[in-house]
Amino acid sequence: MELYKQQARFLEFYRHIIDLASENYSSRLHITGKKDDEIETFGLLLNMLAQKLQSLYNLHAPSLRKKLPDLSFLINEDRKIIFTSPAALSSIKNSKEQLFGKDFTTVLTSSSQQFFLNEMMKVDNELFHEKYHEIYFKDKAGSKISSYAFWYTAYNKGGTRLISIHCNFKKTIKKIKESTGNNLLLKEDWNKIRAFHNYILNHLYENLPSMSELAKIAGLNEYKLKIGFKKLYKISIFRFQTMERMKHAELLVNNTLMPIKQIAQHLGYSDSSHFSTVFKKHFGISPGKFRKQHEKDSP
Amino acid sequence: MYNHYENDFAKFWIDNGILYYVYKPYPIINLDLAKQIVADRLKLQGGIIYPMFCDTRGIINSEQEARDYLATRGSILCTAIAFLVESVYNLEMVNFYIKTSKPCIPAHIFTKRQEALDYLKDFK
Repeated sequence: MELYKQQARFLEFYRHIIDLASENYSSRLHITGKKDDEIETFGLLLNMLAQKLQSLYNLHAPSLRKKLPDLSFLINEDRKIIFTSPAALSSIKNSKEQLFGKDFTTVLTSSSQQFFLNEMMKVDNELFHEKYHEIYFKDKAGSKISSYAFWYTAYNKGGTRLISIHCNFKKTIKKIKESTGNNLLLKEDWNKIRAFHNYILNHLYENLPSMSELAKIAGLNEYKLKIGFKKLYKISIFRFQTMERMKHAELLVNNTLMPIKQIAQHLGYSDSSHFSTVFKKHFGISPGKFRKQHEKDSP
Repeated sequence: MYNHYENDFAKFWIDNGILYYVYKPYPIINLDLAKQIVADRLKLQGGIIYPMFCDTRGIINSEQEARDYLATRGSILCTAIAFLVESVYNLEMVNFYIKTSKPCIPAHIFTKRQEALDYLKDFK
């Protein structure tokens, strides 16, 4: 009976992991809160991971949609195409039979074939290879399709290696570059921006230095930092700091008897009248009146 | 001004320059509860900054929004936080919180109360 329960639990965990991998971040395991149970602890961590993924997806979903690849292929260890996106199929060949089971390099131009083979040898020990490479496909009419590609390695249930190749047409990349000013943000850049976001929260009460200094702190150029932060968090860096300070201000004004001047100093404002101006601009009312209003409204 | 407070999910008090916060067994900490936690704590502190001893042994579960709220707003008028844990379940929950929600103040986990209090002495 115990074994049956364990197997059922294992299957539940397996389903949950597959759900997460399928971007179903609302999936949850049932947790009883049994504290001396290691499996329960693992289940709790999986739920917390799902919550985190869900919140990240909700934050970045619009950007993710914009970055969907134009063409996608799945190839096996022998470079045979086993799956393509509908767009890839319609661009390259007339039917599945003409594409599936064929060597991936046959859909590339001769110059790109050799390049791809050389790069694949380097990928052998990598799971994830995100670096855009310019490669050329041959379309149905024999013309060249120019694109940028990156690829991932994955393993199926039987332990066989599969390679997932994703490509964006050069014109798609050109559009993204135009909107970001020739500063295409890569995965490591987004990670730096997230780390910089934490830096702001950890230095909330300090006045921010100049953009050039902030860029050095973030490890990015000014343009990437400014545009990337705005894209990710939908707000500029300086406004973000002000907004977060005001959230703290609201809590201190409503829940303490600290004089407004002391609150201003605590939050990093050297001038309390400047703090009051910013507060009023944010909440539509001065901090003193805000506090009186809250006292009146409280039970 | 009171120096201790209790509600349905926690009790907290100030003693010898340290704010003690003890969670009672409660099914789940959601965003509304997290907001109440911070508001009640600030009322008790009366504008004075303290290091915090947080006994998490009563926490069963929490929501992401609550954790994110506590990681930022939970650090107001607080210099550092020492979490007391007991079981592996408890430990991994708090560990996940520190590593992913990244509280804005120094935060450490302890299994022994006295070690936690010793850690907080430097932040008084």
